[in-house]
Amino acid sequence: MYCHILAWKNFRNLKHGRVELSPGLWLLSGANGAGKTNFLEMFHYIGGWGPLPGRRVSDAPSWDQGDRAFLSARFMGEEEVECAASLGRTTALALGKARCRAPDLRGRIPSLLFLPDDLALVEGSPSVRRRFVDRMAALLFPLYARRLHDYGRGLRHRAALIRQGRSPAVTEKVLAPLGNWIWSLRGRTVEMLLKNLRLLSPLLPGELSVVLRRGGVSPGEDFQGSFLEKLNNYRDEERRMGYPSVGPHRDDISIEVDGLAAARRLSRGQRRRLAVALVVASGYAVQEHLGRSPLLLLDEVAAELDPPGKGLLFSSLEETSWQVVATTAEEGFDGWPGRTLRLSDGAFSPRES
Amino acid sequence: MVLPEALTRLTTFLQRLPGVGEKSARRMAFFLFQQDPSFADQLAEALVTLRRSLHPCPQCGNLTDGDCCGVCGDPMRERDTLCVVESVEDLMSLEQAGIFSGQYFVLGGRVSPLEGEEISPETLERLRGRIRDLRVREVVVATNPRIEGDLACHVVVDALADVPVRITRLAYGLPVGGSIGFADRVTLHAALESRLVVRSGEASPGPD
Ligand SMILES: Nc1ncnc2c1ncn2[C@@H]1O[C@H](COP(=O)(O)OP(=O)(O)OP(=O)(O)O)[C@@H](O)[C@H]1O
Ligand SMILES: [Mg+2]
Ligand SMILES: [Zn+2]
Repeated sequence: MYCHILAWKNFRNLKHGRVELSPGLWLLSGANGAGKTNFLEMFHYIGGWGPLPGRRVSDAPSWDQGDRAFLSARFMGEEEVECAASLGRTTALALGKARCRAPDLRGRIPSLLFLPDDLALVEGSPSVRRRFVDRMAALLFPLYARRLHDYGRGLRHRAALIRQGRSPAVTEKVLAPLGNWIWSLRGRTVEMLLKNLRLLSPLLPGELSVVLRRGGVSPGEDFQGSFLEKLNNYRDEERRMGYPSVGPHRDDISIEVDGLAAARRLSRGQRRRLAVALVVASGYAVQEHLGRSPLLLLDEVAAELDPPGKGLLFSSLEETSWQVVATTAEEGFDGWPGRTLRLSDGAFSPRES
Repeated sequence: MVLPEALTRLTTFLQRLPGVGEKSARRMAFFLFQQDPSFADQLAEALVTLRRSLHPCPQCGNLTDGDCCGVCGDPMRERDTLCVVESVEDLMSLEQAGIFSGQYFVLGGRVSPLEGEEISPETLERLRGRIRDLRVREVVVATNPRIEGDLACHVVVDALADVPVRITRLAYGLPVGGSIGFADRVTLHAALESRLVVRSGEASPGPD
């Protein structure tokens, strides 16, 4: 799928506007604070993903006028889809003329977003890798986001009971099957990722393995059983940490190159390239599973890549033939195989060359 | 501009109603003011009567203005099936649908340790008593399909550990009468996961 028209009213510093886009690669360049990340966020909303991590819907309407922001878009490609979002104290989404729920949009116009933080996919904390896999899984499996949310809430209910000095047994009965379900879908997601990663060998530094390490249990254990058992055994340790030492919230995705941890084995630039390869591979997995091409939203991902690294990134993006919207605070990129828009003071203009 | 005290006071109360924000509360207050004075009198009287005369049915927790509620007092209803719901509102939705002809039991709260909400041991004891008294054969747990509903379900199941009764729970399903093509993805996924066995796998001897 690709976005053909995006129009907005009263959205952050971008105020009112409309862009018409073709398939292919788009680069948005502009100074710090010009509104580039805000622009990507509009696609994030319209794709059913809500505000960017760490941001709030209540900030979507422009601060100096009104209390709602409106977005509307037409997507083309595998099918034609019109959708809209109204953002303020509450969010309303529409697909065609009917109200819809966020997961409906996610499945119809799959989009994948990568923030500067995701560049640390390889050496960053496990939470960066979990977030990456969770986004993918949420696209691939409609119930996933709901269940993951339930699991997180279940953990907090459990912690509350322990704090009150009461038995958390009832929450464990709910958490164990839920955790097991999340493990099995995360496992499938990682397998799909690895399979598609192998297609991107130019970006890869060697023989790669990507494996889900289930938090607190060893491979081959009966997961649901050991989950329950360990929740029981480690109560004391848990009281100190505040949350259980076993479960999907403790998962990591181990990435190895030629049998060594990638974070150790690779240089910084090589790790960036691998991160980019993971991003593109996740797009291929989504395309294969949903039968429609994803829209890729890349915020500042080319930062820290050397010229050959940028070249590899650009050519692998070009090869996908997806619509890609990327941002940079630089003037533009030499050799960018697509179009460039300049953003300043909330207004868009084609880049003069 | 400072609004008159009487208006602010009413607006503050109205805002506490579910789904009412500041703007609509003010609209309602103005509306009330513009009606004939008898409207306000009657509304006030209706509110007071509601609180004075309605109370929970001692047997099931449904609302009633008598000794027991319309459901418990109905001799035509089945007594061996008991449906456990979280709230009176849920009971009323099921009743309005007219699909269930057994007895109810209202838990009267959620299980949400985060908000400090729980189901009291007394309530669970009343549930056990009710199952014994009615000689219930099946308990249908109709808690909401979210994590707090799952917790409530397990609390009920645990409380009935030594009670010989069949326990079932509402399934996640497709919207009936629609088509698979119109169901949203989440519902479809949930329906697939809670699918029913139609046949377990053994072939039956074919017709000869
Ligand atoms: N609701 C709002 N109303 C008006 N302005 C807003 C609102 N929300 C955010 N802004 C402003 O929008 C500006 C642009 O933010 P944005 O994150 O898009 O910048 P950017 O172009 O991505 O910059 P950088 O290169 O630093 O990442 C910020 O200066 C912020 O103060
Ligand atoms: Mg930015
Ligand atoms: Zn009753």
